[in-house]
Amino acid sequence: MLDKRQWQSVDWLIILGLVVASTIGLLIIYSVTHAGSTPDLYQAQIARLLIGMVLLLLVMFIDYHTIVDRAEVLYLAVSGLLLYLVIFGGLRAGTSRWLELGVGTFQPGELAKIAVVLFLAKYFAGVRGDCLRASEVVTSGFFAGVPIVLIALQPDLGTAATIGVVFVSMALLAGVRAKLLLVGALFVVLLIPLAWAFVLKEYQKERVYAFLDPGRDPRGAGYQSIQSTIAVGAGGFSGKGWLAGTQSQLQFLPTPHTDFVFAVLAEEFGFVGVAAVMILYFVITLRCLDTARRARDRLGIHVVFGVLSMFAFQTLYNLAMVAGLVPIKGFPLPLMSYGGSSMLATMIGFGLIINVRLRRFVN
Amino acid sequence: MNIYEDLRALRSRLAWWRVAIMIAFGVLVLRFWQLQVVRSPTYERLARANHVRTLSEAAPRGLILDRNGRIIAENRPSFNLMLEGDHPRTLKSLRELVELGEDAESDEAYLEQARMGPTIVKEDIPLEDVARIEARQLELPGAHIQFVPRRYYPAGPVAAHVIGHVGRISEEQLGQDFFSGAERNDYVGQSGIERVYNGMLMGRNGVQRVVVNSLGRRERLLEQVPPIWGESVQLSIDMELQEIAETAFADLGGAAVALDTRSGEVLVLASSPSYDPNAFSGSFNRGEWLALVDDSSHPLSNRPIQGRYAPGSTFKLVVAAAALEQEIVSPETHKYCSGSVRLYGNTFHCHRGGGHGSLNLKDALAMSCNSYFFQLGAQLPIETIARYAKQFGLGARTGLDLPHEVDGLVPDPEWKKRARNEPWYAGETVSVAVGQGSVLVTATQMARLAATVGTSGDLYRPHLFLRKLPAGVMPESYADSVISPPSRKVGLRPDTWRALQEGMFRAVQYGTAGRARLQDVVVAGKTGTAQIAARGRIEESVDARRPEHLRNHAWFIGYAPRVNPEIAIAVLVEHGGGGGAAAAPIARDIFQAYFEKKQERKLERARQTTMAIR
Repeated sequence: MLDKRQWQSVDWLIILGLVVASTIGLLIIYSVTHAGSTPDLYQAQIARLLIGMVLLLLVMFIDYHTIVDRAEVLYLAVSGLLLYLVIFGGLRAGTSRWLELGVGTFQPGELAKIAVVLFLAKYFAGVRGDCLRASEVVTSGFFAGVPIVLIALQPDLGTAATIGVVFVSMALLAGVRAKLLLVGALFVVLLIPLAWAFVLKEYQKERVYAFLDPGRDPRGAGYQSIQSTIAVGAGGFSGKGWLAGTQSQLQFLPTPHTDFVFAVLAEEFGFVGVAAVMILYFVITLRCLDTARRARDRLGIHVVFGVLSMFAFQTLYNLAMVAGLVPIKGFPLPLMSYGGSSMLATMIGFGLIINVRLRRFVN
Repeated sequence: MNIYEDLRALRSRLAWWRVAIMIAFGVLVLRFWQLQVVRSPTYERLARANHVRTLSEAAPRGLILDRNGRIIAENRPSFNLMLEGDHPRTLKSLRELVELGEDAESDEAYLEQARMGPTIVKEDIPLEDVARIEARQLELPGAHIQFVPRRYYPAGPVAAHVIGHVGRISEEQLGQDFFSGAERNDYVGQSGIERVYNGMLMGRNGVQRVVVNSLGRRERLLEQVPPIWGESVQLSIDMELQEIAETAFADLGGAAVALDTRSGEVLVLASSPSYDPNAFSGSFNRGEWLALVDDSSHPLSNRPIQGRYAPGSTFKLVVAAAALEQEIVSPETHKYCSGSVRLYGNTFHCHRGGGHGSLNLKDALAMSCNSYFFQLGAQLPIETIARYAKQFGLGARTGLDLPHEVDGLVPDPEWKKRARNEPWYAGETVSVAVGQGSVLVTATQMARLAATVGTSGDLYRPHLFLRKLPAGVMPESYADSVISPPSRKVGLRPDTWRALQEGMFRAVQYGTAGRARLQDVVVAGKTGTAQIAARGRIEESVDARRPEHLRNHAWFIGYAPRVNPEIAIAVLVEHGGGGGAAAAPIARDIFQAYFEKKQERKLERARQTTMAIR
């Protein structure tokens, strides 16, 4: 499997970072659920974390070239699954994003992120020259667009948007000429009003309005944003202490163990805790960038950067949302939020990054 | 893959991404610094406003007791249905569970208030409703039951005008010094003793600071300052006598006042018809309120201090005093009554058509002979009569400790010039001499007049307040009056007092006030008939045939015992006809009850002494 030199090259630092972040996540999940109707929720999260670590190691052992060789198969399989869900998917929580397995449920949308990253990495690695040609942008855009549309139809706009961002960042890394970039930007600008008029649902528009002016309807859509900001601010410099945040413990904060897990952290551990966890995420992110820089080939760079863009976007958006800087959107915070599919996808992603790092040396 | 790939372009772009990510993290750190350090106090306050509720716990009012320690006003447990927070679904369910009544506001009005803080949806809900709501607590986020002490008057309408009633404090009252210490939604005294001694009775509200969750459910108590009971007030009223007086009126309107002649303590202050003050302390709806206000018998008016009536023949005591003091007549001076007197070109009639014949002043009082007093009226200047009337405290508030007492009126030329811009006519003095014309008095003033005559000049300021008792102290009986010096002395010659007293004694013995006579105690009294439709002729015989609302008012004033009096009474029966027939029996009932009680007490004391000796 791995030779001695490779074992030494395994990025134990990043694995430590993942474990620390997940453990802090467990503390927060315990804090907001221990007194409620589901006090054992943290145990389920521990199980997922362990499964995630196993997956991470599995993914780490197999050379990423071998994995990417099967990217098309994975891509087609995931797309088929998404199509199946859109057509036959049972409704759960108003959406059809869940796949019922015998042992539980799974969101194929999370798997789709990985599949798209691998597929695009393979495509961009094969491109000759420093920049993408227009036809290549359109082609890659089409392949990214299929799962995006299928996921958006579920409707899970958060995951769809994440894949969109992943595609744009990966394409930018692969190189897009200024002229083309301008055309693309123009295209997007024209698309926004169309999307506003035809795609977005009322409640989604409400969220945007609420973000622009939270006081407009403090009991409605603006409620979450206001309560989150209050929780963060009330935490102060040193926080209220573990299990002692009033906003989270008294249920003023919505979904405190999933999307707003960081707001709970901010309230109970204050700016000290916020800064520590942000440094942790920052270090993980920089470490990934370093891994990308040191990768031995284009494929490695694209794989690492694809996973990283997914991770960084979700992290930054979630933190900005908790801080009241962007509209509320159902993004979990990678590593810390409660949720199985997201945890597994994140771990698989980091498995790929570590994979690339330990094979950075040209034999 | 090709190991010779040129990775430089990708690596330089990665460097740009690195910068972008650093900036993004930097911005976020600054933002959290701003929220958690710079603006933290603001959010700390908002968080506290979210979950800490300061609730006021209403203080029970002090008790009101009668002179024997009987409770006249107390508190009963009651429950208010409250709503807090934005819970339209809860409100809808509440409407299905509980009949909110005709005064219920719209959902919007309730919700608007409930968003600001705890709001009363319905006051004083029955226990079944309390149980029903408590059982559904989990389905009714934001709703809760508040326990409040509510004023309760066990005797219902008895002495309602004395006790007064409580009511929710108004916006205007919140700003007044008199009600300082009262909070919004508090019940405060709005009339009667409840109002006059509100400061003592009110107590201090307690405070509860509780932590609530986002559904408004209480999680824990942070701090509690218990409410402090108000002080109790013991009144001089004797509820037994009061009840007897009120019962004696049956369905007649009027007023009865009984004073202790040795202290001015008010034993009875009855106003008929009465009302139930309990209605005001519960959820009083507009319909009931209007019914009380619009009632043509004016049950809310406190007649003993607010009803202004012509004194009729009871005023003859004042005229007799003036004539004796001015030495116009002596007690033995005889005058002749032929049934009418002709003065200033008018004929003035006595109530006895055939006339009283020749009689002296004492018998003129006893028989209430008009002719005698018409003639005195022709001999006395109006200013002199007015001076003596005012000496007896007529035409001015007695200073009784109840709100909204009226003055009454003792007319003189100066008043007439001011009020009507007319000169005084001598004929008017003749009318005033028999208590007609413009003279107006209250029953309280007349009770005090009787007391003053009976005690040969002691004029007390009547009062209801005996003492205050700290909260929780059990009251004791206050049966014996504290003998205190009178507020002032009416200085007349002893002869004059004796003549007046003799006249009142004879009135009961064989005169017009015979119906006030008691078997064991000697009563002195004077009747009066106040004309409503004055026509220059006193038509007592015709009166009984008039429609009720045009019939004359009946007066009786008196005291007992004849020597060293203890109790003085004034009774006015609206449209009662002759004073001897309608008013004297009511006074008699009160006298009798008073002396029977006294006898009982004496026996009781004797029994206890005997027991002690054994």
